[in-house]
Amino acid sequence: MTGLQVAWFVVAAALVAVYAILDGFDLGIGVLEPVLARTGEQRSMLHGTVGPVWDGNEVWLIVVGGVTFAVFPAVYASVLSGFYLVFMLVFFGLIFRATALGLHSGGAKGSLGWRAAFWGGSLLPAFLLGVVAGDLIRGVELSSTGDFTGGLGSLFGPFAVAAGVLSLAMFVNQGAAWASLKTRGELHARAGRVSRLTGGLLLLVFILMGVYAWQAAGAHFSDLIARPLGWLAMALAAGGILFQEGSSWLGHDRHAFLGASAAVVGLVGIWAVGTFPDIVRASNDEASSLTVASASASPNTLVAITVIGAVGIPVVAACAFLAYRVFRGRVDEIDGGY
Amino acid sequence: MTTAVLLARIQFAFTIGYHFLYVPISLGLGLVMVLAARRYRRSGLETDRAGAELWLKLFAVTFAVGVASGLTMEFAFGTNWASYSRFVGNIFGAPLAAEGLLSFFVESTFLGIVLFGKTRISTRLYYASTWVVFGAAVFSAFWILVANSWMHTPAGYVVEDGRATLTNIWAAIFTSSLAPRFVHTLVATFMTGSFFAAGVAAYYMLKRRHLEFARKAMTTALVVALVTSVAQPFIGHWHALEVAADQPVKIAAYEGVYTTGSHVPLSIYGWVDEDGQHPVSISIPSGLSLMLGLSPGKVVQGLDAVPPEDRPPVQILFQTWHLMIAVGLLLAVLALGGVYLLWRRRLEYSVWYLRILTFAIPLPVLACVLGWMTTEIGRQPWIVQGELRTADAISTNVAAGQVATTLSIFVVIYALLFATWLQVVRRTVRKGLVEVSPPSPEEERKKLVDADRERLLALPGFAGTAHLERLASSRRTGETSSTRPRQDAPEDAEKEGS
Repeated sequence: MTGLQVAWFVVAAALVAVYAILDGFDLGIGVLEPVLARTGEQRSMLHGTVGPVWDGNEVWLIVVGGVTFAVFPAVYASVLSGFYLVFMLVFFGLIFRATALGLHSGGAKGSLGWRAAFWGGSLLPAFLLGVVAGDLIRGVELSSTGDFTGGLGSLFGPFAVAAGVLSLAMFVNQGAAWASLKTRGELHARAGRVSRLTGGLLLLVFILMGVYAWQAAGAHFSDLIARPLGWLAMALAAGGILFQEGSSWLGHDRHAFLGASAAVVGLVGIWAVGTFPDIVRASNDEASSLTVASASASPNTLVAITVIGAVGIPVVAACAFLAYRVFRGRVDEIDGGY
Repeated sequence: MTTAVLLARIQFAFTIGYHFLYVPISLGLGLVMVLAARRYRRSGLETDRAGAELWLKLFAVTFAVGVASGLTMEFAFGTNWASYSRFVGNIFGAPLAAEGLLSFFVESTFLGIVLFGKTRISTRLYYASTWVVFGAAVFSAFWILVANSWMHTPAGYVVEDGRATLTNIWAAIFTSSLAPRFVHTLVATFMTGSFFAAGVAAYYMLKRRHLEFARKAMTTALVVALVTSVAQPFIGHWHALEVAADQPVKIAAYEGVYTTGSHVPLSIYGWVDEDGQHPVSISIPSGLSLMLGLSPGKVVQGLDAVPPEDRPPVQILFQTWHLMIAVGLLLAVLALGGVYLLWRRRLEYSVWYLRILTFAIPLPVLACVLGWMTTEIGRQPWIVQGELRTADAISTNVAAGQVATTLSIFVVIYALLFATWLQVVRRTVRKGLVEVSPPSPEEERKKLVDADRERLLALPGFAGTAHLERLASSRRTGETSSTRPRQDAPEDAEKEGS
């Protein structure tokens, strides 16, 4: 295992975390829309909070895909083919969402069908990405060539479904915190109440999931608690939620959103720290696991992609900064659109 | 070919072919949008602003569908082509990652700014942002064609343990087919955009609406259309020379040449008699030899140079190739006719020509798809030329039934998406320009009073409003403005100021 391989594992995990924070809030907004928005005007305001940024947020997922392909091609090949139908459902959801947002923005005018598409298209990825994470944590059956050998049913075991619920709770909480940060009036008040509820719910699911993982995903759990970084990640997850709750009570929406985002980083960290150095854990035979070392691209490729990353990541950071700076502040109404 | 391979190929062809409908339109409209924004920046006229807005909106909806259908492509190599991904991962992933890191973020960020930030940024930044969006889109196309070109003309690697391993990144990026492929594709997208714009302008001319805008848009569009569609055959020829050198079997299949030899004719129109192994066509004697070697004696390699299992399907290639050329030449003639009518100042009244232009909007897209089919089917049976067969590239653990399921869902969703896109585009074009009438003198005066209020309220220690009242009446507006709520910087003021 070389330094570059480890560094790229860290970068990839960080990209996943940023994706979960950013697309997290806009998937969460999608799931919560029926709860939060009672009138066309409120729906319009809610859409306005994600309108200029959702497309950029989804780019993080594309980049997670591209970087995984470049750095850990074996993982890219195994996971995407192994979770074939699961990922296809994620993509179908995202396509519906993109259409609902891009072609029918101004939600107020959106028909019931498109509103349902926006809701379902947000719910599917939020739940299914957690299922994928749950399976990776628990381990899957791998052949010696790295192909999944279990059937579709084996991917929806109780542990994976529980992880899906956790990720759904995480995305929804993120969405509620974002809505409370970006809106005004009645919608803002409701979003605040909902975010305190979802925060509590997330904490509850998180604790239950911890107990479950101790029982069901022993290998991951014991690695996690054996490492200081694992404790840091757990503290970040729990502390983030508590900070969010406290800030929300005090009316500090910005701090509440930061707390929720810290919790996301903690949760992704729990996956990354516990799984290292495996990326795809083989439950049948430890030797078949795809690890940071065995799944990595060759040294020349790693150098090339490091150069691309050294140029690209600052560009990405600058873009994200610019976008969130131009669109800072609360949303009154949509002043633009597709 | 097994069912699994066939289904994987159909799904990939369908999803990327669908994606490729929107790519040339959005890239081409990107150019139109930038040119329109430039016109507005120079003139400052309301018509030009509204015109730029119209192109931006058409660009954005097309871009949105492109993003939605492009998302799956980024992952399709893993979901359906896992064996391929394992083989090329060391090379193919890097350009995809580069595309994401270096252009997608820039593109989506600045598109968000252009679409939603009009009231938050200056006109200058707004104009610059349109350029950035367009530039990033072109750069993104570059990286995708880097990856695609490597599949046709792989270089800069060795095969170790059944995987291609990178030896030279520059050789792997700048393969021999990249330059002609990139230029040929990019010019095709500009043709698409210019004919789209010309078609929309023709629609307005026929309806006698927005004539001022339509005239300007038509002139720009036809000039771009003429330059690109006349240049395209020459660029295509350059590309063909490259293909003849790198993938001679492909050219042989395009023209249905089975036997290696000299004095090979160039077919104009016809079909291939696959059993008799020769094309049945109207042709130019020794034409292909002349095109490829400037001499009738030039020896052209035929399909017999490789065993039958290494040959692509001939009939379909012969058709897509010749049809692409025919459509391309037809477009050049159309552009030439348009510029002639423009020069004779008869264009606006040439009803038939304008009608043809509106129906010509999909033609460049058709040519793009045909060209794409030609190059990709021409590479078969290889997925990486000479290294990996398409049949050996699929995900072995994804059952044919699963692919059949997702393929049918794709067909339904994509048809729905296409209908929605078409509906939005038609509605946008029908609605036409949204011009904001200039503010009346009355409103101008009100604005001045408000500005005074703003300044005074900002003074430290300012409390009374009596002075304000006096000031307001001194502006002779005849109304008291003390009850007006505090206003943030009015958005119109910013736009007019620039």
